[in-house]
Formats: sequence, C-alpha cells, structure tokens
Amino acid sequence: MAEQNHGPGELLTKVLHHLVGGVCLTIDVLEADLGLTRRQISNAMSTLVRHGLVERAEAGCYQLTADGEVARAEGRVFTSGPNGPHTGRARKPWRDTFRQRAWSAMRMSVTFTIGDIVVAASVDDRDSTSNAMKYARQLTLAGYLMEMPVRQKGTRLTSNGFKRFRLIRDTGPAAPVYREKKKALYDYNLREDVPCVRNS
Amino acid sequence: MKNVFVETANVKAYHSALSALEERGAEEACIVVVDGAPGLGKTTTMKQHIAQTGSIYLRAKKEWQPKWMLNELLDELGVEKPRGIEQKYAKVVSELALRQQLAIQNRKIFTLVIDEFDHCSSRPAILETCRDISDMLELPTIFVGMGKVNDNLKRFPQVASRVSQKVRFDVMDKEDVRRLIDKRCEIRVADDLVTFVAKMSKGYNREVLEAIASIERFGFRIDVGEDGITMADMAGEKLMNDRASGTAIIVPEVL
Repeated sequence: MAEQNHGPGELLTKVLHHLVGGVCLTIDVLEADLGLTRRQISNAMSTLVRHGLVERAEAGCYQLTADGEVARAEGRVFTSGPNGPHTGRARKPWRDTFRQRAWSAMRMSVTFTIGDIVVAASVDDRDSTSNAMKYARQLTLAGYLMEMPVRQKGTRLTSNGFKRFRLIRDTGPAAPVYREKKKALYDYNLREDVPCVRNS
Repeated sequence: MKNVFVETANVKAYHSALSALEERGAEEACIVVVDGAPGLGKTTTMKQHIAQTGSIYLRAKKEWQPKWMLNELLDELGVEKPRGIEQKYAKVVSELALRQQLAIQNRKIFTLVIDEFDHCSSRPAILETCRDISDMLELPTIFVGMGKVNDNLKRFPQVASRVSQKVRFDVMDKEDVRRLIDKRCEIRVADDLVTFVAKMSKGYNREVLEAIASIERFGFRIDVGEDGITMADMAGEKLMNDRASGTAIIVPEVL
C-alpha cells in the first residue's frame, strides 16, 4: 500500500480518534480501517505512547490510556508544535559530520590510532585522515585525549610509528566543536568553551 | 596499512540482517543477536555502525541491575537523570522515541546496541527491561556477544521470540582474506602468500591484520615483483603469532 501524505499532526489525530476506550486494536485492524501502512501506524503509536495517550496492552495491540480517553473526548487535535515551554536548552539532532562520527568512534574505543578512527568514521569524506589528526590534536590540547607513551609500530622504513590515544574526558554523546576565533572547543554536553592550551 | 573499512562476508551478513529487520512482518520482533568469537571483526563492525548512524551504544556489565543500565542509557542519551526507576524508564522511552523519529525523518536506521551481552544474557531482570524498551518503541535492539547469547536466550522464550535476526560472525574464507589484504595492504601480495596467511590465521581478522603489518614491514624494504610479494620472498620472516600458543609463525623456507 502506498503511503498517503499527512499534514503536521494529522496522522496522530486520525489514529487517536479511531481508538475506542477499553478496546485494544491490533495493527492489522487499524491498517484495514484507516488505510494506512503498518509503518505509519507504528510510528504514530510510538508518538502517542510517548505522550502517554496510548499503551500497548500486548505486543502489536494498542488501547487508550485514561489521558488518551480524555484527549479523545475533548477532540484534541495535534499540531506541529510547540510541545512544551521554550527553555533554551533544545536538544540538537545528531549531526552527520566526520568529527561527530570520529567522536562516537573514540568513545567506543579503549585506545586508538588515527587510522582506527578513520576506518570507522569516514564516508567518502575529503581528507579524513588530516581532519582526524587536527581534531585529535585539538582534543589533546583541551585535555580530552591523552597520548599513550608507547606508539604503534609503523611499517615503513623511516616510520616513527603511529600515536595511540586514549579518551580520558568523555563528557557525552555530542562532539566538541573547535572554534578558531577563541582557540577553544565548545562542548555541547557541558555547554561551555574548553580552551585548547598546551600544558608544558 | 590503508585506512579503509572492508566489507567481509560477516559485515554483509550483518547489513542484510538490518535490512531484513526493516522489512519484518511482526513489528514487535525487533531484536538482533550478533554472536562470534573474539577477533572476527564484531567490534570494528559495531564501531562503524554506531559512528555512521548515531545509534546508542552500551557495554553490558557483569553486575548490571535495571537501574544501573537505565542510568547508563540516560548518560548516553545526554539527558538529566530523574530520581525514581519508573521516571528513569519513562525518560529513556521518551528520549529514544524522539531520536528514533528523527532518524526515521532522515531515513536512517536507529538502533540500541548492547555489547558484551554474554554478561547479562542469563539475567531475567535485564532481559525484561531490554524487551520492554524494545517492545514499547519497536526499536531495533542489537545484542552483541561472544557465543553464549543465543544459548542463554533459549531459557527465556518471551525474549527469544522477539529475536528476528541472528548473525554469527564466522572465520573468513580465502576470498575474504584476499579481499582484506587487497583493500588494506599497501604492498601487492601473491596468491601463495595469501593462501598461507588464510591457513595460518585460521580466518581471524586480527591475525590477518597482524600478517598485513609484517608483509608491509618486509615489502617496503625490497623490490617487489609484478605478481606481488611471495612466500619465497618472505621465507624465514615472522608473519604473525599463533593465537593458541603465542609462538611466532614463520614463513617456511621450503614447503
């Protein structure tokens, strides 16, 4: 079945108003009644569950909660937002940048080389090795990374080996972003600037 | 060594399982079990999956309790932790739902990955909490272990029935070893040496990577022929260490 397009909140309103208090409806029934795809119903249900208006009586079967029955009786219509007071601390969506991917890979690794990070994080990025090296340097200066005393052996005749790093300050899932003007990393997890200064 | 991610048969099987999960018939069956011995590339594959999709990654602990797990999950989600366990659970569900929706809008797959799951795959409290979260949002949840997860789950049919895909990371065949060497080694390698690496490494990624480093270390110091570096070229050189005994594996002078 092709997916019909719906305006903001239209799908949620349609699904909510179709449910009846005390009756558990399965995805199959909703699919037949509403002419929606299983995926659309499933997505709408997860939002309604999050709002506390619907609960899963058992796997694949949904019914209204007490709040849901009130919302239905009041004829509540979903809109595109806002969903709560504006606190100025909105959660940023995950940014699909090389440095965000590199940060995620660093958080998963015990110790790592630049090569390890490039293997995990690169997606046809231009000059990803040099980008990872610059980022590792900035993170080291800001005290996020520690250089391990022993390097990984290189394979070329004149190679000094590869630096190994360890993440010693894991502040959270969002990658710190370098600000050239301030010579600092802005940490979205701490919401503060962390200066990149050489400690010697 | 070239810094590229190589799609071996194991990686392809993993991606196929994720695609199959997207197409699943029963919406509630959204658990994937990834099992396999150490050194087969599970962690590298997971690291790439997490980094590329922004999914949530947790490492299971032997002493995990549901509250401890929920706390770690909230830390990973980057939100403040409420006090009670019920509030923690509600917060986890709402935050995961939010991220799942964003991922759906961006046409990406969003998953919850729990590594080292052998530690808690026989603990009903943790399994039930994972099942509740996965069930509530129909969130693809990936249990990664070292071979015991599937066996342990057999004792919990209510969870095992939610497992829609099982991926077993197996040792590589010669074709995969060849692919890994071709993509990552900076020196051309002849077929006889590839065969020897495949045999002595027993198809483990870790050992093959060790062999590639040895081949490069040797190959950068000699003139390599058109066919690439051969066993005869490397005769008497150390290739890797034997996994079981720890002794060095030397390329033989005469076969």
